[in-house]
Amino acid sequence: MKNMDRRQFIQAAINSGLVFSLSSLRPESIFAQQDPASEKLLLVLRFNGAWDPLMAMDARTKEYLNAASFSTSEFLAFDDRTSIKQYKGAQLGISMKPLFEYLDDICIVNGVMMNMKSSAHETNREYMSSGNITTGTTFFPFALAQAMQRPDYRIGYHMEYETLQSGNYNNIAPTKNLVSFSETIDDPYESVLDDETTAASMQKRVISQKRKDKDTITTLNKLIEITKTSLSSNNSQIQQASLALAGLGAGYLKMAQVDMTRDGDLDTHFGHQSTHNTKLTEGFDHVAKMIKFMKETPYRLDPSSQKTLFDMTTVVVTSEFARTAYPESDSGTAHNQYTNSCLLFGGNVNGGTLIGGSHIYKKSELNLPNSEMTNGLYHATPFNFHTQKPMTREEQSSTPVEAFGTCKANKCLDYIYPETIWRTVAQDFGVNSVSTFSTGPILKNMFK
Amino acid sequence: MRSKFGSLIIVMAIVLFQSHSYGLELTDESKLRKLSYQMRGLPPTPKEFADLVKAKDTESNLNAFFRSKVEEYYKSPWTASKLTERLFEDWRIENPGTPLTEAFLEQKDTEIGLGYPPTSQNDTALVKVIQSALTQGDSWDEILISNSFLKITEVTSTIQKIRQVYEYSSMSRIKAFKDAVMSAGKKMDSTEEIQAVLDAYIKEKPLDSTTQNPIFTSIGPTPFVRNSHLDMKLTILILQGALEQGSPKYNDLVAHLRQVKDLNYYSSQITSSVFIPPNQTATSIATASTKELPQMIFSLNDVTSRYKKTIYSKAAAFFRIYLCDDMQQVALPDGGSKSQEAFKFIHKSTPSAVTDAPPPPTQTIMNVKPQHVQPQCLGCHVKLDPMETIFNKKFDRLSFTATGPKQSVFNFSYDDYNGRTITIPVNNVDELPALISKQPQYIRCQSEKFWNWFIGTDVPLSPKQRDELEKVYVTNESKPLEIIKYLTSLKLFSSDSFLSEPKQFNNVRPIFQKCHGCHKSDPTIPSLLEIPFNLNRTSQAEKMADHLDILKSVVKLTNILGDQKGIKMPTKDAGWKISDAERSTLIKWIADGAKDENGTDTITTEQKNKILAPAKAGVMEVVNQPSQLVPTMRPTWQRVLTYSEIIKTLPLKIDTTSTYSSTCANELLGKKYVLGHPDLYTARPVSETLDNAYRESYRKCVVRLLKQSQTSFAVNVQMNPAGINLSSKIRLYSTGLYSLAIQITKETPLESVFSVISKMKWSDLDEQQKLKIIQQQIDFTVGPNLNHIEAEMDLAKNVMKAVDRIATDPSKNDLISASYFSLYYILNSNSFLVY
Repeated sequence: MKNMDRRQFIQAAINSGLVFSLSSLRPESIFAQQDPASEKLLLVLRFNGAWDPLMAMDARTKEYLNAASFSTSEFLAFDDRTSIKQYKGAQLGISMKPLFEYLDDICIVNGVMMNMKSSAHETNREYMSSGNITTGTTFFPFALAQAMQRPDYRIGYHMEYETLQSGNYNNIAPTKNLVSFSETIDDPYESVLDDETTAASMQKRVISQKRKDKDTITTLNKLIEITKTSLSSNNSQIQQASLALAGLGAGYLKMAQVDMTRDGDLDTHFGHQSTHNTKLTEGFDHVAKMIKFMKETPYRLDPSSQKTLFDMTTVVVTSEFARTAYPESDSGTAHNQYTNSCLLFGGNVNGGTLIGGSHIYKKSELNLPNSEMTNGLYHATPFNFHTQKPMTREEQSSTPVEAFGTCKANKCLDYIYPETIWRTVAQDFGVNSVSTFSTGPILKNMFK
Repeated sequence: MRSKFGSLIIVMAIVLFQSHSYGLELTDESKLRKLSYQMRGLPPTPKEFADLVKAKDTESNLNAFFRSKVEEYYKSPWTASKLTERLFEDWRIENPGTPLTEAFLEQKDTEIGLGYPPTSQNDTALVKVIQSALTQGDSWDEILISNSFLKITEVTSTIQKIRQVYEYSSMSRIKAFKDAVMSAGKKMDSTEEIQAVLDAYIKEKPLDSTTQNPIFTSIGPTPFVRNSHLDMKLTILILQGALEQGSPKYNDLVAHLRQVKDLNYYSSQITSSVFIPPNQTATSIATASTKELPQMIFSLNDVTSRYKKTIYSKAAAFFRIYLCDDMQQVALPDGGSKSQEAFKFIHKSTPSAVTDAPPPPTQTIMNVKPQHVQPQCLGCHVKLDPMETIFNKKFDRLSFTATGPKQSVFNFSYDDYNGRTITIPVNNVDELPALISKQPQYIRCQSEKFWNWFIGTDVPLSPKQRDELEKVYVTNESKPLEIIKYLTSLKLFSSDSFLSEPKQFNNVRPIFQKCHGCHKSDPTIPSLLEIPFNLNRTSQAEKMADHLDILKSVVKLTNILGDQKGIKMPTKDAGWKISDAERSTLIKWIADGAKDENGTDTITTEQKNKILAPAKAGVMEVVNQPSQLVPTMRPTWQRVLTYSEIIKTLPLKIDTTSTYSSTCANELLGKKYVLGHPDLYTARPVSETLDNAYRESYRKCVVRLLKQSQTSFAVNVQMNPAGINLSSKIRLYSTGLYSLAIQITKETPLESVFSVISKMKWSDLDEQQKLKIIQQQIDFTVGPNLNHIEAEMDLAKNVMKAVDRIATDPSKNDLISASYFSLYYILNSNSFLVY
């Protein structure tokens, strides 16, 4: 044992990297320079708690829900769960109402098959928002930025609860911190910065980066001010979505992922009717406001800009899975990982499109392997990637199980999975391979 | 000089590493500083350093000195506050209270010290309750599992109720009463004197509902005083000022109220505005019915609200917090193409061949949900589900009916440290708390937390050491003070090695624990929780042969030596991956000889080389180069002070005269989770991801302080024609100008010291004067470290040079600005960050 005096200890600790010397605080990543020429922004909004597409983008008519077809144990029916609008051969439900005026901007994907092995929120939430079936995955934005080889892309995030798995991606910023930047660069201590200490060099870099980034910070602060009125919300989760949009709109962020609702809001195992629509509508209402705001806001608030924030940003709205068609105790609904839906808008998204579909099966129609699914099953319809349409009943019955899930030159029959959506998004961002999921078919109608 | 010195240390570090001597012992002064910061978040005072020097004469004196310091520090609310934070980190909940912002400065004699937070009037937050429990000397078990912990909640709220009544209608009257008694020549200091006065008074004028009460008030007895006879002890304590801010009698009040059985009933009686005759209620307070039952932290909403619908579900958190079981999700078998599997359900052309699959044999296990019967899931679900059921029934009282505890039998199952599942039938949920606290795994889990907090997660805890620690935990009835005393007396506490220790089995055990989660249900796979790894062999030779084979398989299947491809284990959908840090820990462990828990090699150098042979050069290079070893950063109480430890005290120390709502203190304190603590969103120590927010806030803070100081000086010039105003004393201290002010006062007693200082220029001072100012700031903020005065002078000189440069700008040459520049520099120095 050697006794170290404090000075030796400090020095040795610095040398060993133990002391996070001030120069390692990465100001360069905080204030990294953006390249305006290659802007293409991504925003992922998550509706945690598992939404009920039967109330929104994948509803059913009253006729369909006729008591003659379904018993009350097979379907939890009430007026809020029936469609209120016919759209592209499908049905839209009551919670979707705030988005009706923007249907031409939105691409709806129905019939997304989730992770059958797990009905856990966490597993499927991450799966749906990243395409990676492994829990503890990286966010799609992190994986995409890595695949694009753009470690300089700053990615904003807001998570409700779980551990952030950033996949060693460093350039991240919690959206809640976006309000903390001062555009002031006057520093009364600047003139002491000719010192040789790490503190001084750190501060010198911060100031110089801040000078370079002054306009972005100014725009960010302005946009945050604007969103306080035009995108205000009393809901702190929803506020994060507005902040993320301000970050993207200023060019401060390149991508962001925000949890917009809490588990408790949408996970209506009890009293589905009394709560679910209210919370889902609240979320969609804000999404509608966001679309309006994005369309009205020039990118970086530059009046000469030819592009609005809407043009620049691809927004993907997800939730962990659908809810069951059949009732649980006290008029609640359970988790249904056999189908899901997804909304996309902005950027190059092919608005006014509806892709995929689902079907509600009665127990008698199913080949059930175990006793857990005793009721009706709301299930994604298999998809023909060749025709880019859901498979017909005939196609399904004429396809041997062994031939399903394989893609050949002229035949590709499979479910739409979360990775199918993200693979397609990645391609729109110019990336053919993302490490967190395998290559495979894409949805050709999703983007223009 | 700096770089030469650095190279020397690197060389020294390499030499040390190669000679397998990793420990570097802190000097006694540094140990004191570490102790003080870890327990209070404050540097030691000059007096403490002086006492240390005196105590150094003998080993026993020195030990006694440190023991007394631990005791002294433990009593400070700051230790309670820091321990509470550790708990919150462990429970992964946010701090719902803000007691630190209530801290205030006080002046003690000539020494400027930091006062502790006064007992809050309104704070019933969880943090306050835990702090009270800790300062009251409650044990760790009582906090985690106890009704005495809940009692503190009740006591706090009862005091709040009494205080409200007291302040609303009694305070001034009691004061008048005391004045009247004293003016009549009677004393009211001791308990006996107060008792005598009250006896005489109540005898003379009983406090029934009609009596006018001339001494207390002319308009009738106050609600509180009216029934004070119900508890004379309480009345005496109140007359002794127990409800006054910072009263020394406050703790007596808490202790007194803890004796009361039914506090709700008690407080309703004692504060009633209706007179209650003594003979009716004296007994009812003592014998009031009580529903005291064993409790757990999980019956508190503040705790459970964190765990509603997340991976930290209540049941999983229960196992993590009480038994250190992380409940790793397990892999499910991949039954071929997932598409085909789903397609089969709805496919009509094939007969339903799968319909009649027999239910898994384990389905009968009590309380396990049918959807979780996949064998792989059972490992966790047999543990989780019964607990989840209990929590869903709101845990606390559902088992209790009018006729007494309701039988609700369930199985409490958990895995012990060898991976064996222990199942204990529980007749009633109320038995559970006591049951858990007796489990060896619970004791191991809790005592190890203290080890991690005070010694460090990176320091191997040998079986012998563990036994001793567990013994300390049990024999001292889990009193935190005793555990801390024991740990801080260990050599390991003051041997602050900053290079990675050689890895031992308990460094890698948590990784193997995750493997165990999936594999435990398969008897053909060896348990990786026992070393040497083996397949139930009996002879040592067979075990060792198995061990080598299994170790090779582990390396191969996890492919830790290769790139990120070809990894067989954990499987793709296992729910976890081996992280980079885990990977290097595993490699390092093997490179160190795959040491068992006693630190004995389980493989020879030849075997080691063979196992590691496929490793790419780069991998081994990292492992073998001491200078590139991962620093041994601790997750919580790091060797290096975190900013949060500093900011907790500094703004409070420096920024004393304003209210906190308008100063930087709140801003900085509010950032605690963004700074040194694990970020709740990333669950990583924030030191890994420090952003610029702190720097920005801190800069703003110093600028604000400077401006405030300038204003304060200007005001003081008007207000204080001569001498030093007390309220400016701390400001003078923090700016390092106190000694100078004293000197000025002596030299020019008739002139305003503030006026003189305001006119002074930095460039007018000589080098000694400048260094004295800077040194005073160092003493004030960092704390003096007498043994290393040279090193600190070095810092002071560097700072002086920097300030000299800035003072060449005439607008910054005034003494106040210059002194803030120097403070800014000190707080940015690396010296500031380590013990």
